[in-house]
Amino acid sequence: MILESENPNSHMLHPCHCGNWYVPLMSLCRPLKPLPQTPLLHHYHPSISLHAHQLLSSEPLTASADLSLNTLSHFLDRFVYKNPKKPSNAKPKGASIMQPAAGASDGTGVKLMKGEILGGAGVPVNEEKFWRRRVEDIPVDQVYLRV
Amino acid sequence: MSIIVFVIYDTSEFITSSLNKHIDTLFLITHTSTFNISLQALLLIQQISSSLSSPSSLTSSITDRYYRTLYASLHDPRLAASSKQAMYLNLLFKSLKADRDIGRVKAFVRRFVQILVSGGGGGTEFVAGGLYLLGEARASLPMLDFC
Repeated sequence: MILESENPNSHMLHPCHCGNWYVPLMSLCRPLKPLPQTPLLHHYHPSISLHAHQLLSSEPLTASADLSLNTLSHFLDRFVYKNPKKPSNAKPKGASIMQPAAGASDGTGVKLMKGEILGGAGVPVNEEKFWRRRVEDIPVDQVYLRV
Repeated sequence: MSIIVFVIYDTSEFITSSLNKHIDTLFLITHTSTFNISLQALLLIQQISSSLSSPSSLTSSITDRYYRTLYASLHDPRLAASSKQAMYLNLLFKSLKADRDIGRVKAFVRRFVQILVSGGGGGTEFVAGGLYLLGEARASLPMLDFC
């Protein structure tokens, strides 16, 4: 953690005093002058771009709480048509006694568990059934496989 | 860490000087130890402050200090490489839901979006999880307007 005395912008690190003028969130996504960072609406990941659009247009989000569907390793596995490991039914992973708060206990949070991809198998992508689907039916993050 | 949990839950109904000392120790832990441990300490402080029902000046000072520390942790460079990003996102979401000060919630959301735009969290799963939580926040905190 940064010491306050060393940081010249320490007044900006307090949530109540960082300048509470009204800045519409839209201006963060569509900057008026060109900024070096990529706005979320034009993010390279199609799911993120889609969710940013949904947030701004007040539509309900179609995101899933499982973070492992968006990791780089999941993308690479799908890219090489590798089937994900079947979730082990013998012992449910992810619940740890020493860290009970690691999982979302009230069901509203995100979760990221190693080796468990719920519903990530779906239709294996190098089969004809996948090729036959229309582009509109495929989730946005699998469109590149269809094309 | 778990030993401290049991001690504090005994006295969580009213604020005494010994509880103040424990809270001070917890804040010291958040500022001086590794990222995972300071995250656990923040989790504990959040649970304590939500269980303190009487709105006294001592309660609000604990809550203010907690939100100040949480805000600073958003900028922590160790967050990008942490394995507990899901836990961090869940903690952030729980804290935003529990905060009574709407101005502070808006400041948090604004800064969180800036962090996501700059990709400060590391991988795309952090951005995706962050957007999911913003969607949930919009559903449960209707006074937040994103436009």
